[in-house]
Amino acid sequence: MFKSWSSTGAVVVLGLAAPLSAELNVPIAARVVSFLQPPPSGTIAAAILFEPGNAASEAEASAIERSIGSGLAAGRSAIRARRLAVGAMGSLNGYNIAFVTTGLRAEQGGIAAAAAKSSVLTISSDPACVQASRCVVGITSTPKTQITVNRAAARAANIRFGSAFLMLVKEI
Amino acid sequence: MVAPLRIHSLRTILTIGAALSPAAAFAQAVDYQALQATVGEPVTTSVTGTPQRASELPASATIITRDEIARSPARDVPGLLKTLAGIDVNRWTAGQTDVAVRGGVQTYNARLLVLVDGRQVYLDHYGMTDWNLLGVQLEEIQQIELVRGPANALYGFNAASGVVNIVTRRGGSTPSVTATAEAGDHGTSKLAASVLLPVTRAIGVKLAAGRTRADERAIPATLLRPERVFDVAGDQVSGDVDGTFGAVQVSLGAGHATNRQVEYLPSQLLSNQDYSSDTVHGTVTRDTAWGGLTLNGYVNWLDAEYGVGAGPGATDPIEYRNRIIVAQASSLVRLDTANTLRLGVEYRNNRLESDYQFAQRISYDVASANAMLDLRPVERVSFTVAGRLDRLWLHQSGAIVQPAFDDPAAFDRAFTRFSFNAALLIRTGGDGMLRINGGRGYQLPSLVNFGIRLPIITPAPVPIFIAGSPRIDPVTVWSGEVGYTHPLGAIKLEATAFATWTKDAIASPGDGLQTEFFLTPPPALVARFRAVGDYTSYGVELAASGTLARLTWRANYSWTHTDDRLPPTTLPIPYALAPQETTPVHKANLALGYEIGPVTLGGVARYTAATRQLAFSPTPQLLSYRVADAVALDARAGYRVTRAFELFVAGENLALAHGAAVSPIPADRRVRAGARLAL
Repeated sequence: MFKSWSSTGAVVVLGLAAPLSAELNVPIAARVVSFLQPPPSGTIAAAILFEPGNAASEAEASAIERSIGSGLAAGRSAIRARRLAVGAMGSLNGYNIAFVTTGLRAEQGGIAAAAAKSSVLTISSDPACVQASRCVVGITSTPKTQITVNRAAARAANIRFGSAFLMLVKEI
Repeated sequence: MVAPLRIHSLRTILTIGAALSPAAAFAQAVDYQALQATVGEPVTTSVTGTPQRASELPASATIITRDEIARSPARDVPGLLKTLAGIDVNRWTAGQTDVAVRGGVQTYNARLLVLVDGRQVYLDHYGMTDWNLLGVQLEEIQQIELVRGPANALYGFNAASGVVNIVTRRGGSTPSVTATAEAGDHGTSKLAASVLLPVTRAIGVKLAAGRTRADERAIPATLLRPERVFDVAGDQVSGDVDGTFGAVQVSLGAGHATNRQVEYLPSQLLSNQDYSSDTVHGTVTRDTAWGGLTLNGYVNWLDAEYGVGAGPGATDPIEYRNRIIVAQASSLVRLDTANTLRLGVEYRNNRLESDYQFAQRISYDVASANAMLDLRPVERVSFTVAGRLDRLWLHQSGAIVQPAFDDPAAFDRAFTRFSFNAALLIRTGGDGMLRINGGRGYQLPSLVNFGIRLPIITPAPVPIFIAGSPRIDPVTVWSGEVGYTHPLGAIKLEATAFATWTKDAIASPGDGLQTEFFLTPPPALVARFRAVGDYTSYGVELAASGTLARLTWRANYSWTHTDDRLPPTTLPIPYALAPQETTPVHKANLALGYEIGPVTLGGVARYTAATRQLAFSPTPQLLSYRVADAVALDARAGYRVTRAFELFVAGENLALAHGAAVSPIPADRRVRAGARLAL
């Protein structure tokens, strides 16, 4: 069972900045979150996992942060995010989703273990993370939007998506 | 007691047409808006019953999006469909429109199933669609899905040539209002609005209403017409409540619609009709770890008056009261990450009450079971096969009108039909896709086809009746097609070759009145609806679309050849069915859209080859009238005063091509202006 979402009633400001092609398409990621079952409500706590000193990782973390701003709508709920250095992520307890930035391949095993333990949905723009069953969702935007869901990673984290959504995306 | 009619009013009232009964509709709890926004292209469930991307459909299908609807010069759903490849839209009158897919043009087209959110709006009494009685506003539509070719394995008896599924917007987390007010020449006016309101986090409400008016076109003196001709009037109101409770979604709704207009009946006589329809519907879906379950039910009522204002001395209008009850259950099973199984059952009860039929009530029950298997054995190949078994029990009850021309026991009849569809998709290099698909479907005789009994007055020494037949069989439709889609940079290219075989097509008696003679008591002649022959349609559809900077464009060409083995159209014309001469051989469309700042411009040029269409002369005699080829121009210009408020002017048939309506009644030019609010 996906853990319950906290509800803060915070005012949500929609930030739909268009992502760069190499970065995570955050608006699409937010829509993916809205297809979770049961549907999330209230505020969704998101961690932006990055590696300090890794330029690519920091750049993507900044881009995700900008896209989310002070809050990003995801169905009837809203995502609020903050950066979290991968070395300090602990068990990811208290988070509902985690954006896994690029450049963390060496850390993906630990991230997957923490996410599974705390039922955290991991989303990445790195297809390898999903292929390796380290991340639950992978999103690429070129040449067209391609969403990949790793069934094993989802099961490990007790994450379930609506069946209509799963029939439209690539599930591996 | 049946009052006699004059021959013209009889025909007016008459009806004589083919029809089929409605097909199954599927509950649709899919959030199309959210899915489209997520995967970056429209999503539909109309082809297989499962959600699929528009670019990966195992059938020839087109999706018209909400944005395209907003920018189009069209004022109704047929106006949006008429620019698509393989589609014939006949504007017989200002109000009456028929849409045909890949040939078979006729009035009261019984071969295209029309649904709103999976619920049939197709009218079963005659097996036809009144596009002004859909009970849906353009303002509330999320997308319009067209599937070409038989889709009976999914939808049952009525999808013999294709399906149009109109998907409306559902209540979301934010309130929304879309409204249009417009007026133009020829008495054209429209007020329409749709409101989405979130009531709680889990419950949303949708309200929609519309009012349309338009004057009838000028009817030439060479055509028979009723003494009085209705202008077009339509009023509609509907409401829906949607709730999401964990993995369960519930939707309840109701609607009421009325429509008055003059129409060509299947007999090709012009007649004023007055329709009133009501509907209630409900759907429950539950998403599960393995797929989903859907329960769906609805009841549609129709009160139809035929031959209103036919002229002095005519009888009262002929009234039909139709009620249909449909209950459906389906289960979607994801067998693994790539393969899907869909199972469904359905029951429907359909009844027609009138004084002008064999007995007071003609009805049938249909029990159905269907299955669909979608397999992807390898990454580039998918195979879909679907089958459906329908068992129909025909009945009559109530007082039998005398003299009776059939044994009442003939109505205690049952038959079984099996429909199927199959499709193979192969993804080729460079994102191309080859599609090979086909199937067999059935067009069910309408309740009128089974049971009508209408007296007409002629100079003949014995009375003549138009009658249905309880022995009439469903029309068999086979189809096959090969399609190829390929992107070329920003341009999407599509080519499809198709063939459709229609066996034992049902037709209305025409002017020849081929009759049966009954001696007792008293002597009478009976002209029946009957299966009159076969016809074949085959052709090619070519389409391309793309964007060029701010310009969006879409072009298509359709070549349709029809070869019929039907009674001839030499005088006197025995049956009002002649698809070979009524279907245009060549059609071409070019649609352009341009947006710069607050200004949006859209235009459509349509070429339709010359045809011949059937209609009665004032004598009255059923004749074949030539309709000239036409290049019609439609256009729309909009100016956004604010982000949410737009002023616009739009026009149809600006070049005043008389053949643009593909009707014996020449098309006119109509221009309108208005305002659109989208909050």
